[in-house]
Amino acid sequence: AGLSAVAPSDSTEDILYSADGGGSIETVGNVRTTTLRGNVRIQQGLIVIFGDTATLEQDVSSGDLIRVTVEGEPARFVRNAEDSAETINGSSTRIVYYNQTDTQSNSQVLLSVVEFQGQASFTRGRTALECSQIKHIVETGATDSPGPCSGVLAPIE
Amino acid sequence: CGFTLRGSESAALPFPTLILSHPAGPYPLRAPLIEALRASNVDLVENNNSDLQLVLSAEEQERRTISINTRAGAGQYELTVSIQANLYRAGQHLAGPETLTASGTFYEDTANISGSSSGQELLLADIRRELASQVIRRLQAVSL
Amino acid sequence: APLWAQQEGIMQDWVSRDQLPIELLNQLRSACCGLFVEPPLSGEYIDLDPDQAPTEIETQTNVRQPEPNQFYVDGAVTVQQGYRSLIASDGMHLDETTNILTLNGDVVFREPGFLVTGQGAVMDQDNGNNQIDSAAYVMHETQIHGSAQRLGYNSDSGMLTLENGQFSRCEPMDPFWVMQAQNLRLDNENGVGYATDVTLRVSDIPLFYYPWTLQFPIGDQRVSGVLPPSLSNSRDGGIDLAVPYYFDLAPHYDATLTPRIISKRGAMLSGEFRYLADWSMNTVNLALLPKDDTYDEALASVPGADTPTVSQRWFAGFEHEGQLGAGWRTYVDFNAVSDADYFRDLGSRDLNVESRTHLNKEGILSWQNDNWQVGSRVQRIEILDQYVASIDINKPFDRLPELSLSGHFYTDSGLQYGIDSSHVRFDRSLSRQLLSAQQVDQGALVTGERFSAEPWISMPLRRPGFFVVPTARYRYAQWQLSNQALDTPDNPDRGIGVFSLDSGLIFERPVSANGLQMTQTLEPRLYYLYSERQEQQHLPTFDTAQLNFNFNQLFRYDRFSGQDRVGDANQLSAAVTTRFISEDGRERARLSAGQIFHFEDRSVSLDSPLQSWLLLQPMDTDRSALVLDGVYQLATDWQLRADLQWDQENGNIDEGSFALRFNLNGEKLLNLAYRYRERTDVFLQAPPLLDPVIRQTDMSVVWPVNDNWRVFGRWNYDHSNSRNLETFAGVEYSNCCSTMRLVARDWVNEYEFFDQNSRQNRGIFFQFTLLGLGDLTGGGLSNLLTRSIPGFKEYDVND
Repeated sequence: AGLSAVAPSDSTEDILYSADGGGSIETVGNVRTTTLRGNVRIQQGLIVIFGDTATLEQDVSSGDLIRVTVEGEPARFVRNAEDSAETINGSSTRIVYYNQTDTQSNSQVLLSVVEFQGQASFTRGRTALECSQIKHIVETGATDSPGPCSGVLAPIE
Repeated sequence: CGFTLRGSESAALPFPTLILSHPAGPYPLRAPLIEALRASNVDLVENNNSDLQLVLSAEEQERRTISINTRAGAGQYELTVSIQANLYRAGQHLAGPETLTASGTFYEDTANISGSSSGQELLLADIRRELASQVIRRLQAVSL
Repeated sequence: APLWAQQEGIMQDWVSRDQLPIELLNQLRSACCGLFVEPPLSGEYIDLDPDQAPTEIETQTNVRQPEPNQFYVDGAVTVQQGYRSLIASDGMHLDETTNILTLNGDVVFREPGFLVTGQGAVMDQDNGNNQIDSAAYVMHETQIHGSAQRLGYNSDSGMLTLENGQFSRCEPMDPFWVMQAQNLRLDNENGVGYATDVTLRVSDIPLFYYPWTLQFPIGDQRVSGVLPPSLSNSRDGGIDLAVPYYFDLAPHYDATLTPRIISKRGAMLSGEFRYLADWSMNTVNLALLPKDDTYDEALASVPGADTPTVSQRWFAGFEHEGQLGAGWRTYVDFNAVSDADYFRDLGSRDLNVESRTHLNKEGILSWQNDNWQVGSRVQRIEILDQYVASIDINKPFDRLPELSLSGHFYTDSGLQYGIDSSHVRFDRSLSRQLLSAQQVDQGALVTGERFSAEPWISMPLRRPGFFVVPTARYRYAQWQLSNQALDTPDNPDRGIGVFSLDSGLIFERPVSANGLQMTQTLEPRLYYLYSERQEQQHLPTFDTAQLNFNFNQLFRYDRFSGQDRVGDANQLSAAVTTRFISEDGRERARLSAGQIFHFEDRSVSLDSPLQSWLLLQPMDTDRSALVLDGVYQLATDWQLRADLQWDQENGNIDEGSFALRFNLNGEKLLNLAYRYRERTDVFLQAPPLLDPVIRQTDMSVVWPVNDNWRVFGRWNYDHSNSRNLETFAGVEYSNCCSTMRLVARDWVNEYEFFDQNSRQNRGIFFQFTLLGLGDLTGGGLSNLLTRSIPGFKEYDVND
């Protein structure tokens, strides 16, 4: 039977995850790492990440989620459209999803960051980007990559 | 000394019918060419896409003064006529473009212009007969 | 550094001569040392328009999207949009909302046939405007290249705008001429350029400045603009500058206006207007020299005086050629001129010696099909030559009108028959006071109508090896005359039977000469002609002339042209021709010899009560001159033509000529010809002190010294009167994008016949043409060379 549960996250929504195969939990020091295998699906709000294996690292004391790492052939990331933003699709051999305080603004706002590593691809609206690695900030929609990259911007119909 | 009367095989044209195409309007080379083709027993047929088609361009005439009479008025002219010939069959280009040229000279007598201009007409007729026989010789040489 | 320094960008497309592939190499003029060649396009969408194709971006460096539709690359990047490809050295920014792409650093912008390099570029995909700063550009098709402080290129219209730009067609390394302009617009699609505040620099020397907007052609499409000027200096006219301006008014009509300044004569304007209707081509030529400064009232009426006969000199010409549906043809050729010397003094447009001896006013309406030809014609021929026109009795008759009908019919049995008929009304207005009473009595004022009908029948039998062609023709003519010669009938008629039998054999044998397999033919031919003798001396000669004797004349059924005389004949022409025909059917050599054997003396001549004419052929000899005629062109680059007429009975050479033409693929030309003819100017005693016999040499040469220099010359000399007919020597320097010619010319002046010490015409002609600014065909000098040197071809702009 698959494993599904809800992990608390201090960004607004909780994270749901499930997997077909078994899982294992291991705690080292203050970090508890949950490893899931077999058709893993991790969802938080509009974001869903699929992959073959995933590891969730939580802070034992606060229960907060530190980092989710999903690997697959490839691992895939989908953020469904909202009225203000278009659907985003991404993939890479490894996807790392974590929160990070916003260094530019001083309001200590928490940003959720998705890092696509290894044959990363990122498609939003008319733009499709393929690079060795891509970093995407969900709240601002910004992406960044050290290159090498090739991008395709579809023509306006 | 090796001469034999020309037999029909070397003179005959390897096709019984031919389509002759040239620019619209009066085309003076047409009459001597029809006669030369008839002499090689080739008949003209209307445009169809099975027979051989000989396409001739418009005549390009060049008149050049080659000697001058006593009053520095032109005396003798050289007249050169050239045409371009192409051979097709059912739209397929077989031979050409070949340029055929013939030329001759005639005198213009400044005192009797109307008389000597018919001299130019007679020379043109000879040149066109020469062009017609060149067309026939080239058609004989074409391997179909 | 001059704007030129920033050119290296486009040098990536420059291929020097030694690396050019063969098919491009033979397009390249020998004076050019390379070409801008466009590298082949690659990519998936290269056949799509940039705004219909996806924008593909490749980079090794940092890519950023701070917001969803802002796209940044920070380092070197290549962008492909359909057939457009771009490279930037340090970064780009693509704003998807405004569709504006900004490139930074060293930029390369490439579209089919067009390359631009520069510093930074802004490209707005919505309105197609691209802008590149401190740019260098090249258009591969026309090889036009240059640079600009700011270059704007609209990819929809292909319009190129340059601020403080330059433009040239020469080799980029050190361009011979450069056109600089404050504002330059090159409309590649319509092949026209506009330059404002223009300076033309030739080897860096500013030669020409024009503060306003100058329009000029850049492609070879028909476009309005300045055509290459022609400049010359001659003794009669002084400095002669003509600058033609071409107006491409519409696809089917255009105009060329040529203001022209002749220092000794004054300012002149000439115009040519062409109108191409769907069934006819019409051309009007007008020219006006309001006041000829060389006009001298006192001398005007003295024949041969070195002054024009009128002060205001003009020319008007109209030509029309039309085809009105199946078989119909219309033709009009009308010319009028202010005075007889107009063409000699002012006709420098085509610079030929004889220019025109007569003016034609003619209108034709005709219809024909394979069997019938019906024609109507009105014609008046005006003699320009004062000497001839002053002895009016030889003024040509007007044909008002001439109606002609001829038919030619074939039957299955091979029999052919037909008829040639015509009805002509001859008229001419003579000044009675110039004629003596005796001339009037001899019919100088004769006019009238002539009806002629000539039915004929022929039974040609043609086989490959032989032919026999008997022909019979009845030549009937009837005149209605007025003012004819005293005691000659006013409605004479004449009916003469003519019979001819043409026959010949054709022998062949294979033969080979210097490696060429050929067929040699031997063609003996006999042509018997019998034409009844009938007295015709009392008839006027409206349109008849003696035909000149040559090889073809051996096989003609009359020694006169026209219908006023039918030559009596009882003669046999014997001739033999041998030809060498190569395997591809080309005649490589031909030699013919022939002679007429007369069984009776002839009696009909051109003489009429009005005058007697010099006999071109003796009437009492048993044999005509032996005619030899040959052509030899075994090798393709040279040809020899010769003919000779030797009158054995009187041991006299009547006529002879040889012409050698050498043409090595159009570059090296050598022509050498000598012509001899005893009897010319049939009726006229030549002007005093002049020997009418033609002994003339005509030598001309075009010889490339090296890739840039070429020399040419002509020596046309009349040995009989040891006078120079036309001699010119010239040198031409041409580099990749311009041609300069200087020709010194010395040519015969026909006034020379009236007073011996009148000087030859002498002139220096200069022509300077910038290739790429419209084609080179303008200018009188190129017409002179094309007309007087057989085989000379003008450079085409793009060869």
